[in-house]
Amino acid sequence: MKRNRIFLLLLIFLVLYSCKTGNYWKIKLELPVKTSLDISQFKNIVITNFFLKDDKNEFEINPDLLEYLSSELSQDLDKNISTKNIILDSEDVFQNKDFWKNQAPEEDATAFLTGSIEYTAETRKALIGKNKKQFENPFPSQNRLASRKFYTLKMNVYFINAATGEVIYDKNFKETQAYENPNQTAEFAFFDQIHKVKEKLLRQVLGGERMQQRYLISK
Amino acid sequence: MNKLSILTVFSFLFLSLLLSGCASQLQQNQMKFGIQSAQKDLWDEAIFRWKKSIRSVSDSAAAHNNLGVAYEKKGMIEEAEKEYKIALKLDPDNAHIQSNYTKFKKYWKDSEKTEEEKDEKK
Repeated sequence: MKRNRIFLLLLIFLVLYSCKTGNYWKIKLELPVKTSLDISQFKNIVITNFFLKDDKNEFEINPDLLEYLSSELSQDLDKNISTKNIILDSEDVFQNKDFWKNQAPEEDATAFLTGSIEYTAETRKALIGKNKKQFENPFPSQNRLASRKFYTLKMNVYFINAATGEVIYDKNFKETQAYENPNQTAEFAFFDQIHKVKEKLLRQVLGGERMQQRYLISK
Repeated sequence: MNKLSILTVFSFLFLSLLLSGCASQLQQNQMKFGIQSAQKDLWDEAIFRWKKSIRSVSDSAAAHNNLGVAYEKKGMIEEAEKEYKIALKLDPDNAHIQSNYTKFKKYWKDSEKTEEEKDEKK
């Protein structure tokens, strides 16, 4: 009888052990990023000059911008990339369907990449204190006046379907960057910022993947 | 007579426990096979295994949670959300499912935000 009891207890233990709480595994996933625009429907992208909100810049923005975008996008997008100089009188023109339909090239499946730009520079000055040292300094520390050059790029980017004249993508980008170098030129700063905008734009248009972590559980 | 009836009851109990244990074992095998497939990046196989697991034990929160992860990986957002919700309903206190669902909501809601909104936050 005793033997039977021990046997039964062992059995109950085994059954309970099989019902123990579940295990888990951490897993790293490369998850797709949602795209804002289905660019696969287009074979040709025509990059036009951008509408300048403030025309008092140190350099000609549009030629540099078009050259940069056309060379970069032709590497990243599997499309025919070309440029076109179109006179943009105001920002309202982006919503004017007839205007864009009239500008449409002969090729089908074309989209215009256009938009508006505001590029500003400013110098900010501030008193900066020296870091506290670990040991006592016999010489009194002094605050110094430091200046930084700030460049701000605001861009409204539009993709317009050339066949319908309709805006199919509309996003605002803003990049601000500070430079310690007082001789920093606006043109070089512009390239730093336009590069960041391009990266963000492509991420939205092409998608891509981002690393995430999730749990898989067995019970 | 008494001894015999006790023995019969215990035998019945033992058999039923053994059988349920076997069914559970089969489901567990499917679950583990699915996890191994997911770890090797074979997500279609993993989905197949976890669906099979749900067919035998429909109230498996783990299987629904894992399916949620798999659908997320494949970019099937609506299906993923549905599976996470079922998993949470079945096991609301499970910290791993809660964590997955929170991260899921944050990731997919964030990716919908415009770059402008992100810049403004900066």
